[in-house]
Amino acid sequence: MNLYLASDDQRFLEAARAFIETEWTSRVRGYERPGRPLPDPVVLAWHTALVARGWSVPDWPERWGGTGWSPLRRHLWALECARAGAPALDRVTVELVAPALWRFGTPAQCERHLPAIRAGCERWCMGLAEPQAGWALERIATRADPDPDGAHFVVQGTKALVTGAARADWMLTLVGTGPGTADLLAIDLATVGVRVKSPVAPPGGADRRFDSDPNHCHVALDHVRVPITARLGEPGAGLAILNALRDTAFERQPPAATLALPLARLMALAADLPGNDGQLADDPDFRRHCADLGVEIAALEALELRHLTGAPFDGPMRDPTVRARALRLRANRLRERIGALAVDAFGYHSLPDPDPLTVDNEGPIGHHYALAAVQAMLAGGATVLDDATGITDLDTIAHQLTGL
Amino acid sequence: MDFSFSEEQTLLQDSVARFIQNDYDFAARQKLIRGEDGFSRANWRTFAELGWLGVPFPEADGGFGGGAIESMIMLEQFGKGLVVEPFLPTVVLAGGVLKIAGTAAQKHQYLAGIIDGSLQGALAYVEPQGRFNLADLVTTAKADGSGYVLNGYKAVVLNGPAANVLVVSARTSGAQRDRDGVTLFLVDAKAPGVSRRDYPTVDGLRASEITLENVKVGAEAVLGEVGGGLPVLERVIDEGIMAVGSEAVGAMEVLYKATVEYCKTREQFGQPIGKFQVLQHRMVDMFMEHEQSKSLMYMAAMRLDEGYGPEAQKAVSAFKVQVGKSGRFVGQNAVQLHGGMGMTDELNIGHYFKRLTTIDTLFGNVDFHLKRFGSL
Repeated sequence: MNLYLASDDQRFLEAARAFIETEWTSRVRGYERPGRPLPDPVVLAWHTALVARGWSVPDWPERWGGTGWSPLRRHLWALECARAGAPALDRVTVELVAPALWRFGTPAQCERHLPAIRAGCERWCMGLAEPQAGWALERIATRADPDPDGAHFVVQGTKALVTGAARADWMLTLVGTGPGTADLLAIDLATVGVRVKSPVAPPGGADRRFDSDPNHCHVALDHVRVPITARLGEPGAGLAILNALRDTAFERQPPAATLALPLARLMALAADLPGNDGQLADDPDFRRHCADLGVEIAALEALELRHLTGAPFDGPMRDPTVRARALRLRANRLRERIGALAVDAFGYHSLPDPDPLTVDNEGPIGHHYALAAVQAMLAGGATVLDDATGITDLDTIAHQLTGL
Repeated sequence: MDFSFSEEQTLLQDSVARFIQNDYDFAARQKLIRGEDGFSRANWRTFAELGWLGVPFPEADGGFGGGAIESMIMLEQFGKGLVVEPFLPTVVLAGGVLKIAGTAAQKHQYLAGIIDGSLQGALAYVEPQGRFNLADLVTTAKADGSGYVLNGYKAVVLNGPAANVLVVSARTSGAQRDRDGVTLFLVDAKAPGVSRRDYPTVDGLRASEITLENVKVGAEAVLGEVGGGLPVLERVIDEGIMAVGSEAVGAMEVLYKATVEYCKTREQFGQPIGKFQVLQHRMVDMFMEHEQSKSLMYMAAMRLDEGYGPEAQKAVSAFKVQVGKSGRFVGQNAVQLHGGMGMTDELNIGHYFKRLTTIDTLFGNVDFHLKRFGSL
């Protein structure tokens, strides 16, 4: 038993750090402006460097350009990037859409999209929820009817709560194709008849460091012609594919140690925030909450390291999927608690509506982090595929634990 | 980075686990705690014969050269059996001070006896006014010729009734809570001026309140540097936390597994109660608390074996916080999910809960270690 990295892993870590320093950290030093997103060209240059180095999609299968790193190395890489604040390629595209393509797509669909996604040239969103149906996906009203030419669908409807649509090129869209059947279609957002509306403009106070900017768009589809070859999987397989994706979504988790980053920022921030009797940083209750979260994060981190290094486990934990679900369950709960503490920290200035369209153009009200913190907490953090309630994870672990 | 045991460590674990499973049944334990000594001298001899009492001591001192990981392995198993033999006070605490601060002569005189099982020890470090602050001492040791005279009152000295030798913290200089001026002394339990009130603790162990009245000791009784005892004490207490925390992890494993088994067999409304989703989720939380505690146990042991310093202290405090919170959660829920049965004396559930509860208090509770964790 020991905590030392093996020498080749240590060399890997040093190479990763050097790369991040050269290609990211050294470039963003001049842009330190709290509460403001970084300019796009900086992010683009970083992504270009990642692509050139072959590190843009480390978690993918090697067949499609993954790095073939061990779980520990993938973890080390993700952690170093998070610590440096270096953004990975868009999460929905790389972690949800891409696996859907290689698991259920045709070879032609994979060849068409995966290299482009890996190169950072193609960004996707997922059009699932709708204004009337919400996330009850069996009740969606968007329809895809066969075009008389036999080669196209004609799609009609509106998608709601689409994360990242304003910046996406494609949308993986759930459409009704018959009574009780639904399909997923790859829709090019440049197609005639597609209109993206973002009800929440990129907020003035947004700060990627609080993981805000849910950027929930509406996408209206008005007689959009989509080739039949854009359907993913067998006819009528849409909901089954989504379920399959949800059942494996627990496999992708940011390292538990990344939870310590917003907590550390909050603790640093607390030196400038008022407490009831002096600074918030000196408030015994605030300090206790921080220490308590610090211990919980350390425990999760230790469990994760056991998992990543292939340590022996007993009982239900012998199953790696149970471990991954257990990690996600705890991480989601901790993320919520950290989010709530962040909102708490701003006191009365957590009250202004985080929607920047409701106020003037004078910039954020109160502390420049407050809006982002409030927005992040109200957004609930996780998407529907992340099992934010934890019920699926709890049920699965319970099944393994009790055998009932 | 490696979270698995070496072959020797696995053998040690198997040997202790076998003893607990085959030779340490609950009914016998219950008889022991009501008996004269509160533990079994025969078991203690067995521990010595198996070499367990020498595990944490260097080979040069007659031990087996084990570290925090080896102690953790043993105590996790002890926790599963609710072992009452005084391994913690004798080997980890009194033995720990001797290991860290003892002179060759002191080690020769005392460690050999601890390792062969002939000597029982105790660490008298608690004072009523000091709560968890190790430096808060009103017991004094005044220079007297070449030796010292000790006066004071030591509370909740675990294994006090059986101990042949006491390691006592006393103030040789400085104000009541100063870090400097704390000195550790070896005191013969039968020395004139040492008097005890013995009693059982809620978890079935034995302890004493000890009064020191003009107790004379020689210069050779000083352990480590005069006035420099606090860092030694802090380190030994951290090793004590490692020990009781590992016990707690073992105890939690027994509790969550027993609860799962009970819920699978107990029927209500025509089905096992373990089928109800609320109970299932509760059991998952118990299981997760155990796994998280176990993870921090490994972390703390590895940090301690890397070398004693702030990293190790922080890991130990994190472990203690987790064990305090998890122990309460797992213990309370085990009792509740067993229904009325959980509180009966025949069923061992309540006894594990009692042990987990006292472990939270020992060496500083959740609040104390949250504060320490936050300040490191």
